[in-house]
Amino acid sequence: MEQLTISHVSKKYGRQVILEDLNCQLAPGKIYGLLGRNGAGKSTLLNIITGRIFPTNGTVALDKLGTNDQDRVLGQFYLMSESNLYPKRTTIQRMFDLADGSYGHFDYQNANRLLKAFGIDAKIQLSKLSTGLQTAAKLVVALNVNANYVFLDEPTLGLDANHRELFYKELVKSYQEKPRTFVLSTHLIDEIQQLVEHVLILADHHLIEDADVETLLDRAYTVTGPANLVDQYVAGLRVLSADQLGTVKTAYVFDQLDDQRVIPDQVKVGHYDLQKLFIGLTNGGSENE
Amino acid sequence: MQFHFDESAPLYQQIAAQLEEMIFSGAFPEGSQVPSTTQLSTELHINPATVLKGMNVLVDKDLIEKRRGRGMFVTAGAQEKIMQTRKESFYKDYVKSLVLEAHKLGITKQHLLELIERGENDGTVNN
Amino acid sequence: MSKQKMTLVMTNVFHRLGQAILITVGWIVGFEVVVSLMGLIFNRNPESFLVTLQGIPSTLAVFINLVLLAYFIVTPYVDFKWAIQNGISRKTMWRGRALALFLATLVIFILDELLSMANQPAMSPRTLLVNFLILLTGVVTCQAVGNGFSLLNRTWKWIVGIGLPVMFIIFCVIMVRLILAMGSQITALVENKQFVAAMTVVFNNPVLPYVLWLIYFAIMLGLTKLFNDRMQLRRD
Repeated sequence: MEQLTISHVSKKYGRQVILEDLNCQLAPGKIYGLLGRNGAGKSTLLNIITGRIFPTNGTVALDKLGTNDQDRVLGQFYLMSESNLYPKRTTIQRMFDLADGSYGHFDYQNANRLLKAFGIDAKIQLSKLSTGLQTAAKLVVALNVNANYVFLDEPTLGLDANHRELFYKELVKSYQEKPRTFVLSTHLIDEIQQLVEHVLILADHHLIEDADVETLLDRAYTVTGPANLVDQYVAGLRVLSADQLGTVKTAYVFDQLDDQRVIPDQVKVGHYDLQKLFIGLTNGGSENE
Repeated sequence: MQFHFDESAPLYQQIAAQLEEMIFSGAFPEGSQVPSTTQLSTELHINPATVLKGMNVLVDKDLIEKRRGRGMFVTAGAQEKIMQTRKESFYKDYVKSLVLEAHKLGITKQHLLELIERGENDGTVNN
Repeated sequence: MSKQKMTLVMTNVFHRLGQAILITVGWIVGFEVVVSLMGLIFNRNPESFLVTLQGIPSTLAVFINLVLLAYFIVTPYVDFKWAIQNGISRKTMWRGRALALFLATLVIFILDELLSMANQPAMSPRTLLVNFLILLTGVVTCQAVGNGFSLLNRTWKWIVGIGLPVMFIIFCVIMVRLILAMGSQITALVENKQFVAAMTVVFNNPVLPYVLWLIYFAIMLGLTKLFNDRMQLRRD
């Protein structure tokens, strides 16, 4: 399988800048999280990767296969998105057949099993389903299409808790049976943080983080204690945000802790999760520097 | 099988710790099969790489072993090994902090020993 | 792989165009039969009833052609969307649609000829070829227009859709005025025997129309490709 390389991708609509000089690589067989607040450009980026729109600048390429405006590259990508690109009156069955006709080897058996689990009839038209079931039907296609890079834009839009649970399970199952790259684009981080191995965080038209979840969380520390001691301890470190209750302060540090620094007795150091880190990173960043 | 995760430590370490606890408590007896990476990651929807990393911690500690084509099994003497490790860290993890806390509360050494005696009795009753 | 994708694009065109034609045929036959039945009831003239019924095939021929033309104006963006959703490149889409256009036009042309055979004397092969090329050129022009329109969002569609015809009319008016203004020179030109002779030679040249047609056709085909390769998901 080939590595997907995004180089110097920018997208502008008139004067409105959506993405600016984006560079990153996606490896085969890995689950990624593409995180960003609403309007950060997640969908735009996915649309550019899958050739739905052209970047203003830059290229998307799959190693030896070349850039994405050709069949053999596009045939490795599948983007499941909120916008429905099928003609009116397209049935779920027809969606399966199109995926099979174009990508080949569509897993009909598994797809039909999943449809049943979601309670969807294959003969029904996609547009006749509720938002949640439309999402479910599109997910069924995305999980069974024969593509090495599957991009899921807001994959849980409108899904209820049971269906979300079902989707996560099926995603992991499908990934294990046939390891390929999944990119989950979402602002609901809580539920996917243990699912994704690597995250890309978009903010202010740029990729502000591109790292393994573990590496990121390794630098995410809470420092709690009397305000003055906490301030002393975190001086010079990158602090994303802080809560204060009376004299007790919790600072959310995103930095490598200095082993030389002595932790005062009344100060406790802990960890926080990806969700909190994401909020801190996309709210504007450092207050202490 | 119940897993609980929080943000106290990297996920793979929590997976390893909780599996170890299950082996120690006898939920997975020695020689029995532990759930596969596939099963665990599907059930808990955790990235398989993370689960595998957690499993490997236990493999490195010689608590579980891979039997080709069949899966992961609890090694003979795993419980004993865990016991040994825990005894070693008992002083560091419990006794030290116990004494420290007692100091903070102004509990005398004599009183502390009495409390331990009492705990011992209660513990025996509970067991 | 790309052959498979091209087949998918083509079968999709045939399927949807076929559907559109069947629906049109259904409506027209139904409508004509009802109208002529009403005529029969009110006029009680079976002969005129039969005559109207005989007219149905030629009406059908006209409408099927219209459907064919309209289809290629309306569908480019719809096809682009499902094609890109399924990882089909613009190039393959263009090839598939171009080939489907040719085949569909050929089939419909034959159908036309069969339908109007009753009312017309048989045509020479040359006339048949010319008629076919005219239809084909019309359809390709429609596809060029359709592909062009699929690049525009709703606002620009209105602007271009109204603006272009208006500009064309203005252009014609200016041309006519120009010719009228140059009336005497043109009269002189028409009376100039050498010029008339030269023109006659040019217009009698059997190759010239084909050359002109070829140029026009190539431009239209080029436009379909040019617009096709610039299609992208719109934000409207």
